[in-house]
Amino acid sequence: MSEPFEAWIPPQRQSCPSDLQLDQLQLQELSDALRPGVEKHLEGCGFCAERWRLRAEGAAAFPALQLDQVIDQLHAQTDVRPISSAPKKRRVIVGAIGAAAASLLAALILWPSPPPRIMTKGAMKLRVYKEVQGVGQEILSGAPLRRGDRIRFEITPAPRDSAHPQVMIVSLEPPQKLSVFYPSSGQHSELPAQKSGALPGSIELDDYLGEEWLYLIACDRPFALTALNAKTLRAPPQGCLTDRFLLNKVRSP
Amino acid sequence: MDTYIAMGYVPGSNLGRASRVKHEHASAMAHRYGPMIYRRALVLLGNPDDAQDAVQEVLLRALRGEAGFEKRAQISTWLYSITTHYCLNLIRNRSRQAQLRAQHLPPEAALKPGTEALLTVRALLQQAELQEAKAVTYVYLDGMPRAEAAELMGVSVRTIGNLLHSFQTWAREKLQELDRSTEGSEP
Repeated sequence: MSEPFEAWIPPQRQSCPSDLQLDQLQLQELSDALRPGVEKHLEGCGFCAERWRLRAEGAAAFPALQLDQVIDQLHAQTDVRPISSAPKKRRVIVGAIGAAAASLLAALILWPSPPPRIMTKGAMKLRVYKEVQGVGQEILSGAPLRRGDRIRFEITPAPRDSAHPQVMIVSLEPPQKLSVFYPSSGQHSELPAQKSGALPGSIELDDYLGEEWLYLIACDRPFALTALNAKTLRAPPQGCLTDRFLLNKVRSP
Repeated sequence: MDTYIAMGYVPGSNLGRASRVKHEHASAMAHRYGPMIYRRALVLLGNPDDAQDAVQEVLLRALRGEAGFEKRAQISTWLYSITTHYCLNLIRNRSRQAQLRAQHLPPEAALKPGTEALLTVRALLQQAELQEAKAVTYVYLDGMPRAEAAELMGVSVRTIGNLLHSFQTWAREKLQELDRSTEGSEP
């Protein structure tokens, strides 16, 4: 492995258009300045002709890609309309979450309430907030988190609006290891009757690094932890909804 | 289409129509850009399930108008960049290198460099700094000219060179460590 790192690039590709350029050509988004050169290259390069053929096939080139599944999830997860981006900084005392999640520590902290939202019917969304200088800031799925970060969950729509009040938040590690993040009892729980969908309790992240998918399961009736597995989390049974969030724990600088 | 993505959601009281428009827009985005995102993610992650998850996450971010989408930028450029960022974060935080090595490789042989090199790069990207990892991905994995990588990352060509140099120095040490541990474990 002592050869120059440039050797990692196959020789035939060193003068070829990049993947992005070919994608943009196929999508008709390649700039006018670059398009003639790329088109001319394609005429004389067998390697790139094959790359082009795969692009021309679109999704058909990838039998494993389930676009319908992706679209269903997108529909479910985009049925949210935020009406305010400015969180109210009302501080509330939250309770301690138990030791149900083996890799987490429970903690009592002060936390502001999340912003109010309006939901359309049929979607349940798991939102995650990180404490930053005493204020809860919503983080995106996959955003880096570090040891010691305190996080809190919110489920929207607010419980009083929900037709799926029985909830649980779990993580799933391959192949089938489930850890319960909420509630601390380890069983499904009816959402507290409150205006906000913020769940009581915050969690302090421990030393474990890597990514971990969190799943929200919300059902219209009680359910058992034993009923959950990778399949039911991805395709919930009738009467249940799921949402997920990538907990991405990175090394502290 | 651009305007819609930049705004995120359509405001207005006619929620039924807005929802329908959103659904149609999401479907159109998935059909148009899904294969590109999937291809990109498959090369980096090497696992069809992870690549499909990447398609969903990246499109979701796009539909919500997140992560600093600029109206002037081409959508494909932005999605490509977000996909790379998403995949690298996933790779870099995987705790078990062996898991990576055991994963399936993309079926499109023409799309990837040599298997050994790809696995080595992925293993190194797990621990590399994010900016360095991006530069390495664009230049060494994608075969992208440094100028194009610089434009995509919003930095100068010189910075790309610095990032690659820094990565090379670090990676050589890592690979030497790996070689030594491999030799030590042989009977």
